[in-house]
Amino acid sequence: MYKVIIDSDFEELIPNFLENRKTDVDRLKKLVLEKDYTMIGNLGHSISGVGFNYGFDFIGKIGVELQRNVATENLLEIENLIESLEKYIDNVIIEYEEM
Amino acid sequence: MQKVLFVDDQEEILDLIKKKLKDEHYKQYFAKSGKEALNIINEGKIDLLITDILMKDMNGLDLIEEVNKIDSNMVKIVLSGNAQVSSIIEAINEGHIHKYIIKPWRIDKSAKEMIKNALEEAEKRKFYSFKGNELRAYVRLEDLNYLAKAKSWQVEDSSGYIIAKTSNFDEKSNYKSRKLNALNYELILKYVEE
Repeated sequence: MYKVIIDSDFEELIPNFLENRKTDVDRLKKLVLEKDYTMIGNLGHSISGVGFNYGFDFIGKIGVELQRNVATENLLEIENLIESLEKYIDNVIIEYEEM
Repeated sequence: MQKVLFVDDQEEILDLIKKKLKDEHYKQYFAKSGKEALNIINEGKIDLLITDILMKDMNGLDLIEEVNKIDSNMVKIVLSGNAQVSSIIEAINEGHIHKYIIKPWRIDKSAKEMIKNALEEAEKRKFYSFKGNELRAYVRLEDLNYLAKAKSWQVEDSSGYIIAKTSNFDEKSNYKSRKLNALNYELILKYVEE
């Protein structure tokens, strides 16, 4: 089970945030088929930026790992990361706290 | 009211900044690209620019270079996770960047404090500025007379930082000093008489 504590100021933004990450997962799957490492790296950068900034460190780390694996063109690991991201988005339990 | 411009090509980051800074007492502007930022800057005076570095159409350092052509005195802060450190160091050393923040940028109490300090710096810069090597300060006419008559001179801020000097000014020489009252901001003029 994934649980995360998020700044209550962001509560209103979170549904859109998660929806955008689902879109990222779909895009990443397509990019893997095309072996477009440049775009996977760009998307990884964007995912790490928003992930960490919103307080979803797990998502942020996935973004960092995507960028790292693009450098070695490790497609298998990239696919594993996409799967982890998808699983996380579908199962994460969010609690809000004033920060 | 002072004006702060935030630039990031990820709209979700700008949304988050808006939320966290909604109660702050300065006017906020948001741009999703360097081009959009330049349009806003061209429309009116911005006191503080806070920009990401890695952006799609124009990176943050290129944006700062363009901004310097319009208003070199603007206080600028850059945010980045993994930009080229050498370019950033160069920009800092050239005095183009006030602060460099490593992402992720958590907008907490200390971040709000940092913006407040940067805006205070922007306020100070209203009283003196540089364009290239040229010092532009708003000083009283009587003070200017001392500058005009001096054989050599040096201008410092109240913390001793040298803002400008003539090449022949020697700290060891028998100089006189006086406060330059540049509106509310004090500068110290050290000068050697003719």
